[in-house]
Amino acid sequence: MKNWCLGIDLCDDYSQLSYYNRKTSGAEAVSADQDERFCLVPTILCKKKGADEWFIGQEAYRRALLGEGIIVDRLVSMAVKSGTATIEERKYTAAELLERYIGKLLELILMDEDSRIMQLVFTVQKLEPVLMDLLVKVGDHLEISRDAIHIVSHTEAYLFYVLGRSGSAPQHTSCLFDLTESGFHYYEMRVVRGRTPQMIEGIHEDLEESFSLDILEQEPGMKLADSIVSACAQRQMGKKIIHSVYLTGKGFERTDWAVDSLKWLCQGRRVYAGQNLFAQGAAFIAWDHTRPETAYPYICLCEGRISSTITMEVLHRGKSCQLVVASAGSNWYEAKVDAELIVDQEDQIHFQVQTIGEADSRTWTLSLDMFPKRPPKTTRLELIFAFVEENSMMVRVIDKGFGELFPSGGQEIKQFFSL
Amino acid sequence: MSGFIVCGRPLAKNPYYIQEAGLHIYSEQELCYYIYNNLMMIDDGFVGDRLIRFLESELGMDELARKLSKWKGKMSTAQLLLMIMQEVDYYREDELEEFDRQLEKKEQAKPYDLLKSRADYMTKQKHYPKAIEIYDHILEREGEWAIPRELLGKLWHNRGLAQAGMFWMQEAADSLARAYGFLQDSDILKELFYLHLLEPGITISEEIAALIPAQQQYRWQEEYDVYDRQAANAPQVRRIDRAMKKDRHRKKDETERILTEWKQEYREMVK
Repeated sequence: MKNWCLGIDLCDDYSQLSYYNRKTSGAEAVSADQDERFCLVPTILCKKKGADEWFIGQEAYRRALLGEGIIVDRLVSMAVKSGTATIEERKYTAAELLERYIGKLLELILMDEDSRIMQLVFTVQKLEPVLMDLLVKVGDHLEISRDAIHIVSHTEAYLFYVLGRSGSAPQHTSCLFDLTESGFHYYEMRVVRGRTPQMIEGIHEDLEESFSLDILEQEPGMKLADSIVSACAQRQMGKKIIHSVYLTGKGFERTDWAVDSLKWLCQGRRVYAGQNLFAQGAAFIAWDHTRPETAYPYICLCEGRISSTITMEVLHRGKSCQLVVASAGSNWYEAKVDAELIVDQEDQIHFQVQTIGEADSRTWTLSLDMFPKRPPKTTRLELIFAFVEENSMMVRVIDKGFGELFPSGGQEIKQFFSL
Repeated sequence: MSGFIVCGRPLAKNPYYIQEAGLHIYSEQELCYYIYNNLMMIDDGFVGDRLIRFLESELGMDELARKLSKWKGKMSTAQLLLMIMQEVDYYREDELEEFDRQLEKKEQAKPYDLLKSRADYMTKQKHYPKAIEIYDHILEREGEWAIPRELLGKLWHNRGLAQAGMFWMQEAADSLARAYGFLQDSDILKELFYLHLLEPGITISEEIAALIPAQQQYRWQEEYDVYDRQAANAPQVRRIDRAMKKDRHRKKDETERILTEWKQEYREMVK
């Protein structure tokens, strides 16, 4: 039985697949082609005319060129907009198409019946709740357990790529430029010192100077691109002490056009250019989920992670203690807590919100006024905490009554709090 | 100090049934609440094998179940009850001290006190026939047990309320009249007056009727009208109104549902 820990970098133009290799303790790219250097799989689907046969990546283009099939692209954007595509008079939802695409992508590695997915981590450019819900549903259809699916941002995948490769928290700041057809992005990984557990911060900036990669086909365009990248690098990095620079994305598949940029970047820094970085970071996360204890005992702050710790005071075995509703550094999409409490002469719930980097805490208050008045200790509440977005926590409070002594009227309060 | 107690265990899938109270218990907190508030209802057989099995298999309180099994028959019921209360994270230290005092009080209680508590509980739970049966049982032994006059008055009064719950209006009026004879409490006269407004056909003795001046009757009538208007706007009445406004099929479905609920409620009441 082969148990795979997989990472998928899902983007509108290209997607990439990676797996964690236990023998080498590293993440490795999976290629869709015989040439293993090509791990970028175009995010397109091609349906064979008149048959329920589907192809992805370069094969999809080949089939379309031969006139054998019909192509659908921009699958991620379509999913975010909950869109549809009509092929041969049949309407397909974005979920159906994405499910076919991901299913085919996974076939690149799950080649025998003995293969099983232990953990699958998707990494996406932007954590759109619609897309995240849809990926979980796609996982359901592909019979991958919900516990085995996680969705992280590119920023987080980048942090874990660096952590996974070095095996420990790096001592210095590093940065990453991701140049694709759809944008130019800057990421920075900082280590915040003097905190226990150690804190690692990931910054992401969507740079305005993005350009079409077509310009790299001509000499003048190459020079223009080089000057843009060089200017951006100098502006972003400035006088910061950055020891390592990573370059990724279709735009950096070749670097012969980035002469001046590389000259500047290489001054006292190590520069790595290559593909599959986000997918490999995701594979490291996938592997970490299989461990009884994390190999990365750090608080990671980045897109997709909660920036505050939220608690409420409760009584447990007669003693006052804090119930942690959400922890700073945890994945917001997976941060779900369910607790049952008995109310003793309280008509409000107070939550303490401590944001990392802020000295003072805030208090959120939730009123229980709409629940029926009962004698002390005869109301059992179910509290469900979940995040609907990175900065928006939903609290559902359900009146469970107190058995047959004080039956519940079924009332429920739902309130949203912004971080 | 927080006012939210963490419930460490989920509710039982198969509840524990307390026959005397006609009550299903789903959690250790409900069990403690019942014990604390109905101590007089609890007899020596309460901490039995069935309860111990419930604590162990449904609530996962293995340690408590083991202790109760070990000490059952060797310790008094009061001590076993205290063991349960101390084990469950529900009552505070000062509340447990008060419970301990109540246990001592119960030790000294007369048999009619215990029976009255049980009957009062039955009335509260709307198990009226059972309650009336117990009140009758005590009143039949009035001489044998030398029941104090004041308590006799309360017994007749509560019996009357239970009878009113069954809509046995004349019997209820007779019981309340007997209660007034013992207690001379004007609130009982008011209850009798309300009973008469609810069911004008009932007979109230002339001596009792003469005790309520016309002015007082007028005031009580006004109060009664307020309650009557409130009752007309109660959720149950509004539900019936809504049902009657629905189309033929939906009206039939909803009225059948309401009738089934009423029948169920009545069966619960008389079982």
